[in-house]
Amino acid sequence: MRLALAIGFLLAQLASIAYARFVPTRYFAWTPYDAITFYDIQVRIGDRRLEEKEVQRRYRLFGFRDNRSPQHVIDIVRQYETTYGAEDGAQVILRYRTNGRPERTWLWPER
Amino acid sequence: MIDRRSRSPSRASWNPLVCGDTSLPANRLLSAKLLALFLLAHLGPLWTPRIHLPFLRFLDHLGPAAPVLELGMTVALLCFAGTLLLNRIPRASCFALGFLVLLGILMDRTVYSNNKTFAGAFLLLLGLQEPDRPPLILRAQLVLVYFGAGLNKLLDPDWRGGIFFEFWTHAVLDHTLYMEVAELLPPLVLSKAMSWFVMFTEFGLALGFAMPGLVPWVIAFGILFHVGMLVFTGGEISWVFLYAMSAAFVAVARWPSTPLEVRYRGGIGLVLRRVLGSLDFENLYRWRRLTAPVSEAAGGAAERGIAGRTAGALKRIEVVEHGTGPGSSNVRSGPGAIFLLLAANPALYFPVAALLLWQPLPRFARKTLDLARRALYRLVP
Repeated sequence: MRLALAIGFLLAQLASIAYARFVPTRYFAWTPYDAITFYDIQVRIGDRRLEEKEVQRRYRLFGFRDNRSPQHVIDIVRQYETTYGAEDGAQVILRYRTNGRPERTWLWPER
Repeated sequence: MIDRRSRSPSRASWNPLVCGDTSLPANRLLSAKLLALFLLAHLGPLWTPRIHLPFLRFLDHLGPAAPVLELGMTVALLCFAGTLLLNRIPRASCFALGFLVLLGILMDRTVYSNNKTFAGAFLLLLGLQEPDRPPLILRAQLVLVYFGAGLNKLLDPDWRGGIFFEFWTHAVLDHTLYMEVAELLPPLVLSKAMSWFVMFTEFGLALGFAMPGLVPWVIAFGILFHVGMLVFTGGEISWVFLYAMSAAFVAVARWPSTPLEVRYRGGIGLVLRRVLGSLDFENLYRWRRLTAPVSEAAGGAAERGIAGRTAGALKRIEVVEHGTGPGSSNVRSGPGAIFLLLAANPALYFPVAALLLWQPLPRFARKTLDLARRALYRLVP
């Protein structure tokens, strides 16, 4: 039983590594330091633009850099805005640069 | 010889520095304790898990059960860390602690990190691995980690082309020495070479851990690689990863199953006996003072200078590792014997762990490396 559990657990990791080849995210795929992303998030709710600290508290993202795929930051913002923050009607602008490549922008609500 | 593993688990010590006499082999329990200490120091918000942007979406719909689950997890995490450190139900504690850490990550995607996931996964597998079997499952975990890391880099154009490394060393690390060397070469050549070196190393480590005979060499190479990255980045990365991986390496290392017989002739042997004897909480060593005259080969009249005398003194120590089968003893002398003496004592790992987990250490190391770099610039204008 224990052996079967262990083998299943290891196979699930192998599946995660394979799955990561087909999606932009890198969860549970053993990819430390695979990309360096500098980002800036601006959030507007109604007429008010949130302060930097409010944005950090909202998404629990305490920094401006992520050492993984930028999709992880996008996932956090998107999940928040479709669940806990769905009623806020927030408008989000995420500007990011990965590995020094040209800046890209992601917007919420997605267009 | 008494096989320490064969003793009854009920005799297990409450001393957290002791790792013998439990249902887990000593090195695997030591590995688990080192990982538990790592989690205690670096788990942060995971000690008080909260359901927040979970990977498992159904957790958002637990309603009033959510606070109960969160509180229960905190209590369970602390309990199982305690039982593990105090040598109580070690296998179950490993499994439970690993499971809870992984569940905590699944409950909150903002706390996801490779280090924490690895510590959780390895603890879980330490609980599942049969104690009397070779650590095949644990080695498989290490193979997966290095294979995953290598494969991801190999299939990433930014890594293959050196773009990641160039950006990282220039814009993030501001690595002056690297930038100066890179300028002497055509664009991206150094960054491509470094990227491919990292990829080959990671695949090499994965392959090495797949081959049981290579494990001691791969462990040494792995530690060298992580320490090298640490020095190269001036402490920017790999600090916690060095710790977590080294802790895991202990679990797959070859470990003496019987007490080590230490034969010595005066001098350094007496000092070692006094120092290590005071740190031997589980009868790891059997000291035997030899009275035979010191041979010339062992450092008699032929010794000249400090180096010669040190080498001679080290030759006067022999460590015998008795195997379980007949004629399977392994005798070591010199630096190899000293290394074995130190490496086989779990109590000696804890001060090193405490030093590595000491929060100001990375900052202190960065300053030291910076000073060394400046001194190098003065020497090489």
